Amino acid sequence: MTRLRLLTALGLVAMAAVAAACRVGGSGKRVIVIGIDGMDHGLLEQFMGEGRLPNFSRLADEGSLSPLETTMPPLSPVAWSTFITGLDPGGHGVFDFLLRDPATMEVVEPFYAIGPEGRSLNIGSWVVPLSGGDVELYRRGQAFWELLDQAGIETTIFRMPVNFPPVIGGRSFAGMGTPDILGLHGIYTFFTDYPPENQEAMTGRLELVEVVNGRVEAQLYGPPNALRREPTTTTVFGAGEVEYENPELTIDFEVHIDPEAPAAKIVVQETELVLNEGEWSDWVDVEFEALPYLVNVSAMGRFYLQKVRPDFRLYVSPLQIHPDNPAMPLSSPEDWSGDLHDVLGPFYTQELPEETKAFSEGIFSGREFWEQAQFVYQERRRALDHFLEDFDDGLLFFYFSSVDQGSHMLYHYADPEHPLHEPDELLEQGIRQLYEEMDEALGRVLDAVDDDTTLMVMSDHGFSPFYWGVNLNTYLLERGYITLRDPTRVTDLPMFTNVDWSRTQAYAFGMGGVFVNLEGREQGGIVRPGEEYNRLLDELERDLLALVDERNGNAPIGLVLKTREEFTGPHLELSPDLLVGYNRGYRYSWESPLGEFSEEIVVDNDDPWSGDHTNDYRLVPGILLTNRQVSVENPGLADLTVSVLNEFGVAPLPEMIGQDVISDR
Amino acid sequence: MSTLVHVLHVVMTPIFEVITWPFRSLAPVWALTAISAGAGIFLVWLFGKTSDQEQIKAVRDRIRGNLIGVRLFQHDIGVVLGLQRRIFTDTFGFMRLALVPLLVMLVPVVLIMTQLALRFDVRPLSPGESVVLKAIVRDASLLDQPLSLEAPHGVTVETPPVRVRTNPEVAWRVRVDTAGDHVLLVHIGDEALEKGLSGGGGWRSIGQLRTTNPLDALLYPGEPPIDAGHPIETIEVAYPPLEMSLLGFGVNWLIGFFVFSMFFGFAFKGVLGVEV
Repeated sequence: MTRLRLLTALGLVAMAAVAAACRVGGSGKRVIVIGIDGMDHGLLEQFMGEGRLPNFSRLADEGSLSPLETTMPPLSPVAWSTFITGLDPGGHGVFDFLLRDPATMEVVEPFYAIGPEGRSLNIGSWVVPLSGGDVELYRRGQAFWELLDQAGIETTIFRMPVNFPPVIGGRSFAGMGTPDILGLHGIYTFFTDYPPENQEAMTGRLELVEVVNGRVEAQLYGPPNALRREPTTTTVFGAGEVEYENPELTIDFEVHIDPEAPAAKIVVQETELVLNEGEWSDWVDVEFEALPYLVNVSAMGRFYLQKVRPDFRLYVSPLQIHPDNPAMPLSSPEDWSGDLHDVLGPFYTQELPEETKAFSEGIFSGREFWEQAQFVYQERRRALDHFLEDFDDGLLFFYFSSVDQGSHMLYHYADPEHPLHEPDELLEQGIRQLYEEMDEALGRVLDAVDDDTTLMVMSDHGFSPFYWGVNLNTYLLERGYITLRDPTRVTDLPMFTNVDWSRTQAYAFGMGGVFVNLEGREQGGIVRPGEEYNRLLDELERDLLALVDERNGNAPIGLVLKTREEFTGPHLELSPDLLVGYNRGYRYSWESPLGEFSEEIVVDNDDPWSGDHTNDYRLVPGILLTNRQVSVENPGLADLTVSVLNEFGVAPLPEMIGQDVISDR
Repeated sequence: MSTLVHVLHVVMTPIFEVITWPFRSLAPVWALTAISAGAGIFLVWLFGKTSDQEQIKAVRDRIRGNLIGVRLFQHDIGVVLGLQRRIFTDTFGFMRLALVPLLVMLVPVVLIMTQLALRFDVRPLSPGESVVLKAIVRDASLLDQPLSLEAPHGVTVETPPVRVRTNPEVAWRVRVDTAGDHVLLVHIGDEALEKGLSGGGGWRSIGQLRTTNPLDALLYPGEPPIDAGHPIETIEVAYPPLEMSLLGFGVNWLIGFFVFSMFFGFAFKGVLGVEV
């Protein structure tokens, strides 16, 4: 009996060892995909032609380079979702950075949902959670690495957009769409004793402070404390219902400014920093105390001491979800983010961490933006080294955001025709330098590529200058599709609040979407589905394409696409009815996406956000560069999904719309 | 008092340098384990020498016997309560017997722990890494005197002095450019004070703090105390913590010391014939 047990145990151990060996040994195939958000095919060819990108040129010579057709709309979340799932937007349900609730016309989070909150027990001001709320990814469809994982292929996916919370399967770390510790898309805090002129327009948090004897007392703000509640309102004489809200978690900190020198000491919990004016701190760990000694929320941020006198100006980065103790899941498996923190040290975990908002809102200068964005790039670059050293087998996907974010913010420096163009020796070369940095990174990747490795370098879309903004809602108002309740107040009311829905047929929302005020879908819908709806779409298409910029005679809109005719899949209910693609130089205006109106239909862009890609998708293709051959003339993002699966011999799902476009040499 | 503390450190620190020398090229957890093992065995031996072992054995035997009695007479509540009263009394008696040896043990424990903290609490700065150096002065008016920080080759002073009147203190940020043990010189008025700054990899003795306070000086043996009457009361470098791991798990040196010393102490109490 004892011998039988021993043999059984040995057999089990042997089986486990064989299974582990199969897993460890993996597929024997290596595929590296480098995703460079916003790398433009035209600019890439231009810089290659100037001889500035030797590694890109080498790879193009040895393999192939072609434009990569992007999605319509050519927005990163949409395009990456198509690459991830192999589906068009109707299949994965991501159409824009913005999503509206047609019942309320309010903006809702488009990428993920937190909650609903779990059950809880309230004891006085304390809340005892009995079950937790979940975070749910809105993107639909299966990610290609889930299929690879199911086939036993090792996958490492770093910073893939629209992957928060990360799907389970393989190793993946969330990218674009990952919130900061507040659950928002990167909210910086600006502490000053002299409010900036444009404080009304700031999306960051403005904290007015006092400098008393060289000392500033201030607070960092964390998420609401889910373990406490405070009464907010009661009815007269205390009768009736009491409403509660979770108070914000806060951390006190102090700044001590030297009486003469342009430097200060900052004390945050256990950390003491000494910074000169114009200097950034390293990462600072902070702990928000939700329940004393028992429950803390970990976060981390960076301090930038912009100025100490005459005005005090201190920027604090959006507080990041700490990878070593994440308040929300950053990776799959969940503890992988902590392992990465151990290896890489602290790093930005929020989506697109380049501080474009502070630059747009006048808090940062162009050079300050550049310095911060370069810090982000260097962090990412070090991570690439780690992943390449660690990569033996299977699939490695690695994502760069620096070209996209830099192209958005530096276009006006590089483009002498841009209305905002200003000379700056460093920043004029900014976009080119970003491409050169990608070339250096590609060189490092090429060192890790052998004959059995398939390498794909791809981008989701290209770029175009943003000279002029088009307010579609103002145009629809002028053409009679929108009626206002109070026509004397066109520009001063936000978010469609002045729209008379009972006399409005269509409206624009988001970065390229036009919606019909449809009966049964919109709360005050008046257009009947069927013939009336179709007739209206035809009229709208004609009118939108007929728009003329009276200042120069250009047609701002080059493409109007009927989504119900173009897209397939089960999630079209979220889609705009029409998608608008702009011609080169044009884009939606800043007011248009959230339902505001302007005096003019076409306005000059006066924001440093001076490059964009919400054009006719045919004008802003991405790139596909590979050490294999591309077998079709016009590959698209969904083709790459199938191609990656095919590299490992994994069959695509029937609903995937692409084809394999990579062939051996 | 400060002189006494200094003499103590001058004696103890070289002893621990010798003890840790064979482990110098290994991960710090091995030196910690070895010192903790030796300390555990030594402390059990010391407990045996400074306690009334006969009395302790008698009390422990009584407690054991009474615990058996509780089990045997559990049907008789009166007997059980009586036995529990005796167990309770004997437990206090045991604690009384252990009190003196524990107080005696406290002295070597503190000395050992200060030496462990000297080596395992923080790590040297990597070249290129910056740190805050802070000097707390006796009086805020001293901050009006000329202040400067003199750095040797291999160290860069990155900021001017930042004076904080409320504490009162002055702080600088310094960067280590090359590995090695550097000496900085803080000038305040006509007085000057040296402070060490460690750069490089691995682990070694690192003086984090110098002070005029004898009690604090006892806990920070790396550098001599500051003379009483000096305008600077405390000078401190905020080094990063030393990260230690065993079998892939992070180990805090303090918890590691208690766990390892207890383990080895209990393992050897039979060999030493000590009742604990």
